[in-house]
Amino acid sequence: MLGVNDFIGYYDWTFEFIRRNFGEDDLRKYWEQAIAKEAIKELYDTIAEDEVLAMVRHWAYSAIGEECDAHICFSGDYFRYDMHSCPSLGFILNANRKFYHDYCSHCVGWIRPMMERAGWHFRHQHNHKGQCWFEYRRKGDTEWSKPGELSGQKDVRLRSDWNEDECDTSQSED
Amino acid sequence: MAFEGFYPAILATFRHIESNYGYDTLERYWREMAEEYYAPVIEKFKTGGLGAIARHWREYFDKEPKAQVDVIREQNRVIIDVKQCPAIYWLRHFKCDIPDWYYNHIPVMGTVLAERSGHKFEFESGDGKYKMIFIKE
Repeated sequence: MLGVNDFIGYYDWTFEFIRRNFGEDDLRKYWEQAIAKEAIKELYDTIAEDEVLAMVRHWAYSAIGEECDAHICFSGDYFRYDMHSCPSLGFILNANRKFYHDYCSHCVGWIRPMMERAGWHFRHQHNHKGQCWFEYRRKGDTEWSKPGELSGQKDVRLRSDWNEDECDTSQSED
Repeated sequence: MAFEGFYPAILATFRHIESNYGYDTLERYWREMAEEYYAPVIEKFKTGGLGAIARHWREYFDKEPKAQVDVIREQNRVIIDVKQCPAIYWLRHFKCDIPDWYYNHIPVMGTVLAERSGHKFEFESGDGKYKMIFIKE
C-alpha cells in the first residue's frame, strides 16, 4: 500500500512522529541507524574503502532517480554537491503540508555519522528553500572551497537568491 | 518523483520502529500515519465514495515503478488487485530481508482509511500479490 510516489510526505511525517513520541535524540538515532546503516547500506559499507568513488556512485544514482536539479564535482580528495532545486523539499513546499520543523536537517542526520565513521569531514549549508551544498574532504583538510572555486557558476552560493543569513550551517567536528 | 531507492527506506523505518519500540508501536505508527498524513485521502473517500476510491488507487499505482494493478469497480465495492507489488519487487531487487509482518501495514492502514470514510476493508495476500477491497457499508 505504501508506495514511493508520496514517500517524501510521510517521511517528513515520520520525523515528527518520532520526535513527538521519543524526542530529538531518538530522531537522530533513526537517521543514523535506519537510514545511514540500513537504507543506504551500500554507501555506508563502502565509503571508507572506495572513498570518492562510492560517493559518486551513490549521489549520481540518487540525483537522477530523485530528479534533482543538482551539480556534482569531485577529485580524489574532495566531493562537492550543489543542489539548485531539491525535489524532496519541493514536494513538501508544494503540498503545503509540513510536519517536522526542519525537513532539510535529515540529510545531515544520516551524512554526519557516516562521514565521521569513514574518516571524512563534511560542511553543509541549506537555505530552507530548496538550495543547499555539501562538501566532503579528508580528515585534516578543512580548507573549504570559496564560492565558485570548485563548481564554477554551478555553485549555489553564487545564486542571486542565496542569502547566507537565511542558511543553517553544519560541519563535522575537527 | 517515484524513486525505487525509497523502498528500502520504508522497510528500514518499519524495522527501526519495531526493534526499538516494539511491534505495538509499529502498528500505532501505521494507524496514526493513516489518520493524520492520509487525512485528506480519508476526506476524499468520504465525500467521493467508491468512485473516488477507485480513482485514487488507479492514480496512486500508476506512479509506482513496476506496479501491475487492476482496479475493479463493482456495484458496492472496489477491488484493488495488485498482481505485482512494487514494494516487494524492489525490496527483492535490492536483496532486502523482508520480515513476515511487512504486509501488516496494509490491513492496519486500509482499515483506518475505510472505516473513517464509511466503508469496510478486506485484504488477501500471498507471494508479492495482494487484494485490497473497499466495501460500501
